[in-house]
Amino acid sequence: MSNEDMRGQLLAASIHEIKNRCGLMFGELDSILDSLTLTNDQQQHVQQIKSESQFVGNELVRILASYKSLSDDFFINIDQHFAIELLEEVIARHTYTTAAHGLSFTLDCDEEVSGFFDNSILFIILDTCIYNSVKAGAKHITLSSHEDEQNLYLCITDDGPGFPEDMLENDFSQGSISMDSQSTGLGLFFANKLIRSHQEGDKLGEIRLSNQSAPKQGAKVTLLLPL
Amino acid sequence: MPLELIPYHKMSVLIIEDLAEMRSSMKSMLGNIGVQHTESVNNGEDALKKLRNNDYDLVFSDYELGRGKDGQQILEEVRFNNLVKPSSVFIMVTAAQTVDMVMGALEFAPDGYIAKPVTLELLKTRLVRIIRTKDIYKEINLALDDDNTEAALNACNRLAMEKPKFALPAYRIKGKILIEQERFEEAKDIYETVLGIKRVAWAILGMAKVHFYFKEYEQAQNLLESLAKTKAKYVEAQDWLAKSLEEQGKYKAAQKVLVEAVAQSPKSIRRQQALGRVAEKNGDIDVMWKSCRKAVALGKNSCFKSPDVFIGLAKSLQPKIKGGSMRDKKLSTVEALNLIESARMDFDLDTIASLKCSLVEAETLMNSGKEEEGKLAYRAADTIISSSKNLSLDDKIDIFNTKLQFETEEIAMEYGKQVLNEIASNKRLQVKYYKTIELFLHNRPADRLKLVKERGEELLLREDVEDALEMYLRASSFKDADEDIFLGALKSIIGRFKKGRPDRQLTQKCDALFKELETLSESDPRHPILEQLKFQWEEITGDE
Repeated sequence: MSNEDMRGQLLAASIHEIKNRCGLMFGELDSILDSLTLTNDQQQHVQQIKSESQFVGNELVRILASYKSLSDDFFINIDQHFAIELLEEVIARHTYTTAAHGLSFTLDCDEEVSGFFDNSILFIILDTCIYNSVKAGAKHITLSSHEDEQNLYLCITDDGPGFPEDMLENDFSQGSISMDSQSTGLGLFFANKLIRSHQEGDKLGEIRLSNQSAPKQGAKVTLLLPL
Repeated sequence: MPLELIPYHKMSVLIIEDLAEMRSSMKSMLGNIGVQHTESVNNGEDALKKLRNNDYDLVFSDYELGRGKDGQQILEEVRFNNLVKPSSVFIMVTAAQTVDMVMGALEFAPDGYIAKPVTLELLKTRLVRIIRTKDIYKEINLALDDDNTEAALNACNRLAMEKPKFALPAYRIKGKILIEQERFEEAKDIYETVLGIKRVAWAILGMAKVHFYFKEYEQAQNLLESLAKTKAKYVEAQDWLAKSLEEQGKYKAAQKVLVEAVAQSPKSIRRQQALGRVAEKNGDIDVMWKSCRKAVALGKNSCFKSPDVFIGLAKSLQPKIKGGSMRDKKLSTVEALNLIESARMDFDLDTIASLKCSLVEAETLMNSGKEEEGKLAYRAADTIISSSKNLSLDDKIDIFNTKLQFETEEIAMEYGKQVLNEIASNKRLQVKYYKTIELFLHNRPADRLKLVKERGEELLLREDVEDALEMYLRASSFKDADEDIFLGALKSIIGRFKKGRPDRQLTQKCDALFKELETLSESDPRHPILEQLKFQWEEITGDE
């Protein structure tokens, strides 16, 4: 094992451990918080804490998955899934985010829209997109899905300020990131790497970034999964 | 089915969860959405008892249950024994980090997953979705509840026709039913159809199973190996790959696959049983001991328990009984005799299994110093030997091993020679045969060394470097290992590198061997050979 490999292994093992310990810690914290009688104002702080701890947990899962996507022992289980099942679960998992940031979701998806993908990987990608929207200050997110002959499309649109021009111009899939949107760029870089592990023939999964056209505003991320 | 129409109040629910807090939290959340009748247990054994005696509409099982069975094993027993009606709902509750592992469940899949932390919002959403999806397969499942196979198959066809989006899952169920019914031709058609649409993993596994049942083991192997290359993590596919390899007599390869599969999910009893079985074929006592021990422990209250691992564990305890410390010897003897008794009491043994039992019993008694009792047990076995047909060559080597201990050497070797004749050119069995003699000569080092040298030369002569290497490496740790052994080991390592199979660890071993041979004097007739080997080794390492 080279030093470089060992360094990676060390980090991964450590993050794994931190993730598990955080999970335990947040669990304990939750049960304490739930047993307290609090004022409305304090409740708002509790929501904030829960939202942040959920973010930390998700972030660690995402780091691990991104790290694994760079190595050979990266596993991906692709099967047929229905988009609505994925999207409604994502929303249900973000109740703390919603409460803490005054966020709301709209789900726009027919029952029978389906595609072929790895469920847990898509969770991570959608989480990345949702947290990006929250960071940008969005208050409303629409998750929608449709399909055509070639692809399943999953779209995340928000009411935030939209992507900065240079992010739309730069090819983020190459890992080029502008300084002011560093975490956004890096998150999308790995999300793109993860989605590209979905392959059908010579078509790969991909992420497209755009801004909604006036008079609407806000960012739009489209995930394409080949059928 | 709209949410308000799901009759939660009529449902009978079982919660399988080891943590008391989680159990009560789950119960109160279910109460919140209208469930009135819940029961809960904190381990797999109790869960199976409950499931055997009651009908539940909804079962939640935690995947990770601490000691004992995990959720996947409960599910396997449930599906195998039909403990939960096909129309009932089985939901696996997983920790976020284990999701990707259990998602790979192809054969025994739950109706749905819920990943922790489970909040009320999440539980509601997931439950409605899973129940609604289950409702789509209602006709199929009701037919299966009634054991009406034809009606179920027809319902699959109808669903595929009426809701094309559900064609793949409908075919998946259909394929499974057909395989259960041993209607392999029809199953093959289904999987061909599916694979024409999309190369989904379950269909590749299904097709591989069809090949397996048609005894087309190599085709099964190829398909499963292609699945392993797709970066998917399907442990069940590895089980079937190992089975296909085993049927072809590729036991080493099968063991390798199973060792990996066991590392990924060690709690599957059938996987441990399979590993114990192939390790025995490979004469790998260490692995055999570990996997049989696990399989025996996992087999408590399991419908998959089998006498083979009891006998196997008793057999793999012999080195400890023979050569362990006093304490090891005592404990292992008691353990082995108990295992033999359990095998006889708890199972209805066939002739070969009872023969194996008696052989191990005789060996255990002999090795623990109870010679007379051992002889009695051996005589009992001997009467079965003469009347049994269909003994495999592996069995016969076992018998030879026991004969070496209980008969005169002459009689035992005569039997051994017959066995060796039958073994003919089967390399695996040859290795096992000579290992048996090598072990027997344990207390006669000079004879053992002579045997190893003769066998080594023979192996090198026919360029069987792998087997030669294995033996020479073992022999180089003998107390009386000499220059001939070291030279033999060097020859086989270099032979292996020449065949294009280098190995970093062997490089170090090679250097150590050259060091051992530094003292070989120049007047020794073997010195030129050593020089030649050095030259060849430099050529190989110089290339790098």
